[in-house]
Parts: sequence; structure tokens; C-alpha cells
Amino acid sequence: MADGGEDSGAPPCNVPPRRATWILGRAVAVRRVGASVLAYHEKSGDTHWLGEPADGVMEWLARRGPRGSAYPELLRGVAAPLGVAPADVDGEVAETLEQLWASHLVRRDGR
Amino acid sequence: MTVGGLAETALAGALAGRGLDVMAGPFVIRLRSTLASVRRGLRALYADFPVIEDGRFADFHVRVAAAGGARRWFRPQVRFYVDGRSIFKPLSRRQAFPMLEWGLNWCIAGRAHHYLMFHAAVVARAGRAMVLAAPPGAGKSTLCAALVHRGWRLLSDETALLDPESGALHGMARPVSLKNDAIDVIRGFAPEAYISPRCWDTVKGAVAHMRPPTDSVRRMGEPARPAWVIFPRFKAGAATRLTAVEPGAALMRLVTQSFNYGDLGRIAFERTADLLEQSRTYDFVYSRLDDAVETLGGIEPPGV
Repeated sequence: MADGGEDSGAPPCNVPPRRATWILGRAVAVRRVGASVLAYHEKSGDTHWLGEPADGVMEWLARRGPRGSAYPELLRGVAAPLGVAPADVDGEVAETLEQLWASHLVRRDGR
Repeated sequence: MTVGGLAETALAGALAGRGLDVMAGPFVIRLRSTLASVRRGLRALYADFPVIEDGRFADFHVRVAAAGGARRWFRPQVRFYVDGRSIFKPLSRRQAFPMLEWGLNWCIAGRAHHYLMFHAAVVARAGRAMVLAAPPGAGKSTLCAALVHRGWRLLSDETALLDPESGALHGMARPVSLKNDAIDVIRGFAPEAYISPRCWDTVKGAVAHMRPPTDSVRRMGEPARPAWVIFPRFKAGAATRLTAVEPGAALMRLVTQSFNYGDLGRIAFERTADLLEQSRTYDFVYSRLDDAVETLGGIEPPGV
């Protein structure tokens, strides 16, 4: 938990929030494997490890709510693979996303 | 017909002529060579492998031949050819058979992109596969050789072939490459194993090859479902230690051991994630083979 935690205001994972946003915003596939979330970037062929935030990031998002500056960015990052417009990111979408995260699978094509 | 079942004249004739087609798992390899050391190596180490005589498509056309010019007599050398092209620097003629094996590894790693490939040994038991992923020198081939003499089936000591469609691991059961001290270690551990004479002074040190168990060769067409991913490391004098690795972290490590992850793109990511989701993942430090085999044999497959 190098960069996260209550005090810093960042998500409780090993990846800084801006980087997490960048990773998730460009991913064509995101998978939860064990306790980790991993994202794949098609253009570069890179695989990114987001530490072990599978539960933690979502809890952090829920706790922060829309007040946190990183919240909409991060949600947009998660929403993009689902084809959800940023303007539509609200509590309902967040709930849907949380369910998808919980089902271990988020993909751009929405499957 | 198997390589071992061919008469000497038939074997020599095929190798010197249009080629000897040998099936190794999902691949047909067309081999050509007039060198006696290559012929001896094939007879000893590929004895149980089927010879294909129906003229079907051969995946790899390879040849090991004496180098020309002065190197025919002065410090004689050999070259490895794929599709008629010499692709490596020539080696000492004493290394003709190891060169064939290394060349075949290169062919598979560079061309079999209908599989997702990892630099890993794979053994199986009761239809469940254990992937032993490690960089060269970590002791995976030694461990693999030991396991296949204690009830495990050999799929490969070098390349894990993951079918992107089924997610199953396929085997080739080719000879196991042993280096330096590992040669005597396996001779002591499994006296019944056939191990070829040492080839000294290769870039990897002393090298010998172990003949795969007959049962593994006969069943090389049987895929296995992944169950364990192990990152082994030999450490002299160390106590056997098995430490769970978080599957996501294991994925990132496994990716670095793939030959073609980047080439296959997203499907490689998805299938590697599937592999790790289906497997138990561990770091494994060992020094004593008996303990190592007992420890690995005691890990239950997932879902048990």
C-alpha cells in the first residue's frame, strides 16, 4: 500500500491514483485475478498490475463519493471500457461497475 | 513405426535423403543430417517417437550438416539449417546433437504462434498440469526430470504450449536438457534413466539429454488442464520452501517468461489470466530432489 490510504486520500492500492486512472482509461481488457486487478493495453501490448485493489479501490470509491477529485476520473477510467459516457457516470453506474468488478470481469465490449 | 524401430540403414537413408518426419506432440519435424552423432542421438533419445510416413505437412524442415571449407577438417564445425537457411553461428561438430535440440527450441518458440508459449517446463498427473516457470539456470529442467521419474508425465522441459482456444496445455515430451551438476544429480536420482554422453564446452557448460519416459511419449497427444504454476529456484543447501504467490503478481511474472505474449495481444492476456485463475501459484526453493518431489506431489489441485 505504497501510495494509498486514508491520510493521503489516494486509493488503497500500490498504484498512484493518476496512474491507475491512466491505466484503466486505456485498457481494452481488465481482469481481476486473485486479489489483484490487471489491465491490458492493446496498442502497446503492455499488461499493468494495479496492485491489490480489487476490493479496496471500490471501497475507496464508495467512501470518497463525488467529493474526491480523483473519483470522477477514476470512474471514467473504469466506465470507458464499458462504453459509458463520462456524463452518465453517477451513483447508479458506479453501482453497476461495482457489480462488474465483483464478477471479476470488465471489458470494453461489455460482455 | 518409431525412430527406435527403424533399421540403421532405413534411418540413415531417410536422414540423408528427403528427411525423417518425426512427430513431437502437435508438430511434425522433418529432420535431415548425414552426421553419425545426430543419428545416434535420435536413435537413443527419440527412440519412442512416431515416424510419420504419410507425407503430411511438416511444421519444421531442419538440417544439421558439417560446415564447409577448412572447417571440414580443421576444428570441424556444424551448422543448423531451417528451410535451407543457416540461422546460427556454427558450433563444434561435437555439439551437433545439442545444436539440433537448441535449433528445434528456436523453431518452436519463433513460429508456433497458434499457441501461447511460456519458457517453462510442464509435467502432468491425473490430467492436471504443473507449469514450472523460471529463467535459465533456475533448476526447472532438473526438477522436471526428477518429477517424471516419480509418476508425473512429461509434457515439456522447455516450452509450455497453451492452446488459446481450449486453455489446455499441450506436450511434446522431447528429451530433457540437463546441464553441469544436474547431469550427475539425475543419474543418481533416477539410475534407470537414459542420459546421453556429456557434451563439454558448450555455451551452457556441459550438456546432456535425458530420454523422455516411454509413457510420456506415447501420451504426448493428451493435453492437460492447468492446476499449478510454480516458480522454482534451486539453492544449494536450502531447505525446501513453498510460498504462495498472489495470482495477479504471478501473472506479471509469467508474462516475462512468454515467447509470444506481445504477438498474440489481448487473447494472451485473457488466457494467461484464465491460467492463473485456474491454478495454485507458488514460489519454490529447493536443494534436495527427494524433498522437492514429495512437496510438489503433496499440493492438492485447486478445488480440493
